[in-house]
Amino acid sequence: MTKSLGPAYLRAQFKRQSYYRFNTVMAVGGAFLAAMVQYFIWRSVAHTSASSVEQISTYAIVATAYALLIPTTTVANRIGNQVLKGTISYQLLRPTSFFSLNLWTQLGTTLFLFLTTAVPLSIAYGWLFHVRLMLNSPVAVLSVLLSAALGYLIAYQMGFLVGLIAFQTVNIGGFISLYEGIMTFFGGTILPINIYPQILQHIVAVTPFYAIQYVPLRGLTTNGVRPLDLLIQAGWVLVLAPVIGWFFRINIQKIDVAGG
Amino acid sequence: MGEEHVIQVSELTMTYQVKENQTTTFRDSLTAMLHPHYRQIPALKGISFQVARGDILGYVGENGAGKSTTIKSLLGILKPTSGTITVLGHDPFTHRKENAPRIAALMGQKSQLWWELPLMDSFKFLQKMYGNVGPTEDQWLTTMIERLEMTSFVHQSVRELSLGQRMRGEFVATFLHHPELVFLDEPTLGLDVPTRKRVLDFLLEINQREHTTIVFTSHEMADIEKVANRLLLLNHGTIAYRGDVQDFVGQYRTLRDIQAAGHVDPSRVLQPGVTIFRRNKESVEFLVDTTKVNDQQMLTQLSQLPDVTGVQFLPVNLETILAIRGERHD
Repeated sequence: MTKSLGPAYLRAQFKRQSYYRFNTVMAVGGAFLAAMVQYFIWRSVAHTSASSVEQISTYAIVATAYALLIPTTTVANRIGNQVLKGTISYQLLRPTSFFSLNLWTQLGTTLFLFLTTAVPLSIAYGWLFHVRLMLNSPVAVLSVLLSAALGYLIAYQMGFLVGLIAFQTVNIGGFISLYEGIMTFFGGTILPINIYPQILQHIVAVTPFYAIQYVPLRGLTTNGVRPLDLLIQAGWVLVLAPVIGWFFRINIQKIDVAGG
Repeated sequence: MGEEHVIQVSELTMTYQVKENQTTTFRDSLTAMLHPHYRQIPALKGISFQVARGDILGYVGENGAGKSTTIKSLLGILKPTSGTITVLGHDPFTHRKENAPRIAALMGQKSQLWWELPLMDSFKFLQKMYGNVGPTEDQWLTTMIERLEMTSFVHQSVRELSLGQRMRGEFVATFLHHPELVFLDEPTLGLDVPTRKRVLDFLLEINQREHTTIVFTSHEMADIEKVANRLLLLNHGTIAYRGDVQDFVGQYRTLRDIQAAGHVDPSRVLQPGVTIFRRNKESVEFLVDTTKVNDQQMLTQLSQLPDVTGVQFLPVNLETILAIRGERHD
């Protein structure tokens, strides 16, 4: 490589990155939120009893498998890639709802992941780590299943909303980073939210991120999901539906379809 | 249904906003990142046209003329800056779902097929999506597969296909649901000569049998001349010609493209009414205005040149005409 070629590549890539400047801002925001989670985690560990540690570790272990099924990032990336390549044109020309089309596609992905990763992982966790779920009745099991379904739907709606941003910005990598940071902090992706200070728990509880993963996972470790939490989840599904319709109508007017 | 004009466009304007920053140094790149500048680019400047049912419209123009912008606007996936568009009686942007079962598009540089799946799976999926299931529809699918000689690879995954094979698959996917209006954007991209002929014959057959209206954009002028009956010529966002293909070609009937093979010294032939049209490796093509120099005179002059080994009259077709106009900046 000649002396000038390396810096030329460096300059070219720097210019490419600077095209998507908002992504940079979003990525920084996401990393900051993830750091805050780490702070609270380790502060909490120092003040936690052994039995609580077992509950926390069960949550954390099960969360690693559960997180694979959360559709948000996949949906957002799928829509973003379609906009980037210009194939979004075909999706918008179909006689089907863009929302439904993506939902069914995502369900196919989730089913595959469920069977090939979540189920084997869960069996392995039970065998290797002696993870035991605290579900002592059919009602508890049903409540968790319903909560998981509602959480999935909310996660899909959030991913769809992030994906719609691509209609205007094309590249949504930074938004996805920010979302993942928010989910780590507000959604209990790694550890249960009850390790946070009380005031933070109250704030987090009114966000949709809380309803996506923390509610069903907590149900797995505390013998079911409370009816109030199920209502909150259902409420978020209903609130996000018109928001999605409005956001779609706004962004479709500004879509930047690539290619000639 | 039953409208005389399938497409009606009035004063369509599209202006893009693009980022423009000098980025020759690192400092410039940082500045561009923090304070981007934008400029307006007028892609379409108040164009108006209509397309009648059953027409095959050849929509041509140089790169960047605004063809794809027009197509995207007609499909309802790009909102124009101003103007009105009616497709199948509806505003395509606000009635995209209503129009969807009745229109189709093939965008040569983008694929509508499922990349990892066998080609047949894509077809079956699209049949279900449009509600075209049953023996009749399967027969239509089979007819298209046989017509385009795809039987040998229809069960292969799309990503394993050659460009020509994939393009044939795109054709089938486009016409599966019997659309009334079809937009073909560079549909013969990557096709070899026999396949291109097969595809274009197939297009003509569908148009004649089902009265499908087709808007065809291509840089292959021979394709346009073969299938299109109407021509829309776009030049830097404005319409330079709208009308019959043959009428357009007929406007240049006084021109001749005469090819002289061998080591030709053009200066011995150039005169008022004669210009050099094209230099090839072993020949020179002259453009002759027969209102100033007649065929026989030109033939005599060229034949008398010692190094000319042959003289041939080439057709002044659509491609030639557009090349002439491009050089004249018409």
